[in-house]
Order: sequence, then structure tokens, then C-alpha cells
Amino acid sequence: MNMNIIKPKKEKLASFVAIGGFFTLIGLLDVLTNTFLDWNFTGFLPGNLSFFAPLILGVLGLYLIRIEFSGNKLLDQINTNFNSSNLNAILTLLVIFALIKFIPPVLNWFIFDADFLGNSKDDCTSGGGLLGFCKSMV
Amino acid sequence: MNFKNFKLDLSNKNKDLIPQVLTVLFIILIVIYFTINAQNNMGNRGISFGFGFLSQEASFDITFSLIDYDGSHSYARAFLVGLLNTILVSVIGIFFATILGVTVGISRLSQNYLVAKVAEWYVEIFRNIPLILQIFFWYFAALRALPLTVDSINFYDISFLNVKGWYVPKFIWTNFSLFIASVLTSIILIIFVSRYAKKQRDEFGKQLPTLYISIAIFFGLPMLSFLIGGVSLSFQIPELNQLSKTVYVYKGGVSIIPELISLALALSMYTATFIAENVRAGILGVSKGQKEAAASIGLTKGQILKLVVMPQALRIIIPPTTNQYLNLTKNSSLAAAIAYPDIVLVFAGTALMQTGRAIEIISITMFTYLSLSLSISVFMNWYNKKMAIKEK
Repeated sequence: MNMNIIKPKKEKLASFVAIGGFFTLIGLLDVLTNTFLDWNFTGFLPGNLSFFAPLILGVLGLYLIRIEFSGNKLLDQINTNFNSSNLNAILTLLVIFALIKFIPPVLNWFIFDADFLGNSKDDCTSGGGLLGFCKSMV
Repeated sequence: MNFKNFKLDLSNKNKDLIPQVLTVLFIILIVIYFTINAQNNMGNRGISFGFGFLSQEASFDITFSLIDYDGSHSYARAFLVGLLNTILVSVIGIFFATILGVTVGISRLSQNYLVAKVAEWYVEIFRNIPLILQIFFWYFAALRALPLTVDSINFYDISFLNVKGWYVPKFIWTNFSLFIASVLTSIILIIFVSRYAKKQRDEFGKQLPTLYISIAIFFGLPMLSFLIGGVSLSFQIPELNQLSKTVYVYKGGVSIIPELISLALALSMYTATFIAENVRAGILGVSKGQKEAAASIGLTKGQILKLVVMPQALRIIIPPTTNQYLNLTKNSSLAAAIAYPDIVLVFAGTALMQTGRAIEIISITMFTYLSLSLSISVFMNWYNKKMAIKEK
């Protein structure tokens, strides 16, 4: 079997970056739509595979764009800082997914949905934090 | 008597001794003064001193206990419940703080920009917010947002998380002591095997597969105890019961109360930041030349970390990490703020209010914390000594 087909090469930079970037983008898009639009477009895949689809697609995509000394400054920087090995690719993706999942709820709770005025539990109407309540809580 | 030959010997040794003796005498006098003063004042007010109250009936309930306890037990039993709860949250906190701290500390040195930055943000956020606010955050904000008992979060039908706590399966053992004995025996055997392997390596240059032998012993002996010794394990899974139209409770299993979860979370996440910085300091403290020298003789990345970097880094990491373990144990007394029944809340709180024996109870509590902290520091000092550089 000729493994060179999937070995990223500098000569076919444009196609590798296009395919790899496409896969990574789909992985990210899956998580984004899942989080914000409640729409799982890899839902047709069976059970656990659907759950891990963004990660698998992302790792595959990042593997395809991992080309050393490509001559493209941006690509080289991405590869050295975020994508230097398979482990680093997985870590990068996991951190990005975690940020997408956790930052919006925390921001909502602390800032957007919070009731800033009020003295008792009854003033807590929005489901967010009630910062004025802290005074009477302690 | 004959004083003829008596001479006041003021050699250097005795000169040094005199001020020390005087200081000790002075301190003893102060202690005696305070004791007599306290006795007089307590006598005037009709307060008696003594530890007899410990055997009286406590007559208050504790929400969470590792041993059998209800109001009919004694104050001594209540003290033991509080002490066990303190030890429980400290052990959980130290365990998770160590794992999280080491992970974050290594992540901060990662070549991956994103991972390093996220670790840095984590450290800067969590170590700069006061611990009590973090405990309040987890208890009043995060865990209160959990669903009610009816629609609990379900983990594979065996474990349920809701606003009243986390319900996990209960382990029901038969012949538990035999199982523990087999585990202890396997650990002792592993120690002997590793010593024997070291001897073989040092004297004859033979490499024994110590890891595989250890794994075989560690899993084999307990397995034998299951097959031959009649040890068996079954699980009691918590079940949802409906008491009335709107009241649901989980029965069976073990319930981990939200106070314990939030306290353990806050303590471990707060302390992990400091441990992370210690780990980072330790790894950066090993000079680059060591790693390059190790790489130049052909060691793999894993071997470099295990054989060259870590032994040297541990010498830098252990002493400040001991401080953090002690801090965590003492900080667990903040549990009183969210009513987790630790020793401060149960003994120095409720028991003190009921009996009014301030001096006895506070001194017992202080000595308990002192001995807890001293035992941690004795253990860590022993470990430090074991890891220390052995110069000839």
C-alpha cells in the first residue's frame, strides 16, 4: 500500500491546505451549531462516532495541513504554535471546543443575564446571577 | 559540707547555658500565671474545668457522617465525625489538587500556545480570587443551578446528580478484610520484587520486567481472593422513590452532599494553581544542559522526563507543595461558611454553643489541627529526604 497518498507534501500545498482546512472547519462548525443552534449535523452517524466526529475531523484536517517549511508564513506559525504533533492538535481542538462550550454560559450568568439590583431571592428573575443579593447572603 | 573546692565554673559552655535556663524559667512562670489566673476567674464564675462532658449525650444531628451517628451519641463521637469529615475533604482536595496542579503546571510550559495561555489564565484567575468567594460561587451559584430530584442528570443509569447532591452506587462487600489483606500483601510483595530487581541490576546487570511483574501481582492476588477466598462485591444502585405527589427522593446508594462537592472543588481548584506554579518552577529549575546531555546519550523523551528531569525537579517541587497541602488542610475550616459539618462547625461550633466549654473545646480543636498538619509535614519531610540528592 502506498502511504504517500495521505502524507502531506509541500508540492501539493494548495490542495492539502484546502482539504485539511475544510475538515477542520467542519469540525469547528459542528461544535458551534451544536452549542448555539442546537443542530447536530453529524447526527446521522451512529452513537459515539457522532459525539467524537468534530474531534476526528479536526485531527484529520490538522494532520493534512501539517507541512513543515511550507513557505507560507501564517501556515508555518499555526503549525509551530498549535499543531506541532498529533497530541498538540488534539489538545488545541479540545481547548477550542471547551472554550466554545463553557465561555458563553459563564458570561451569560455573570454579565448578560445577571440582575445587578435587588436584595432578596425574589428579585432574581432572569436565571442569571444576582449580584446585589450577595450583600444579604453573607 | 565543704565549699573549699567549689568554684563557679564560667567556661563558655556554662555561659551559654545560663540565659537559656533563665528563659525557660520565665516561660514556665508565665504559663503558671495564666493558668492560675484562668482557674481563679473560672472559679469565681462557677465554671468547672474538665473533659468529662465528652462522654455526655450530644443530642444534635449531623447532616453528613462517615460513621454511625445520631443525637444519642456522645460529644466524643461528634468530634470523631467532624474530624473524619475534615480528613475526608482534605484527602479529596489534596488528591485532585495534585493531579490538576501537575497537569496545569506542565501545560503552562507547553509549546502549544493555546494550551499554555489557557493554563496561565486558569492560574491567574483562580489564585487571585479569595477562597471563601470561590466556595460561595460553587455552593450558591454553580450547584444551585442543578436540576431538581425528579429530572436529575443521569450518568448511565447508575449515578444521579441533582440539587440535593450526587447519588452514587454503594459498594457492598463480603469478606472485605480478606480483600484488604490481599491488596496489602500484594503491595509488600511488589516492594520486595522491586528491591530484588534492583539488586539483580546492580550486581549482575540483569533487567527484570518489574512493571509487568508488579501489575500481575497487584491484580492477581486480589483476583485470587475473589476466586478462592469468597470475596464478592455487589452494587446498590440509588433508586428514585415518590413519597407524595411532588416529593421525590433517591433511596439506596451513597449520597454525596453538595457542601462536600463544592468545598472539595473550591479547595482543589484554588490550591492547584499554587501547586501548578511550584511544578513549573521545579521543571524550569532543571537546567537545559541536563536535558540536552540526556538526549545526546540517546534517552527517549519519556526516559528524559522520568530519569533526569523529574528526580531533580521533585527536589524543588516538594517543600513548597508541602506548604500548599498544609494550607489546604487548614483552609478546609472555611467549611463552616457553607455548613459542611467539619470539625470546626460540629465541635468548635455546635458543641461549644451547647456546652459552653470554650477553653477545652478550642484547645482540643487546635491540637487536632496541629497534629493533622504535623503528620502531613512529617510524611512530606520523609518523602523529601527520600528524594534528596545523595552526596558521598
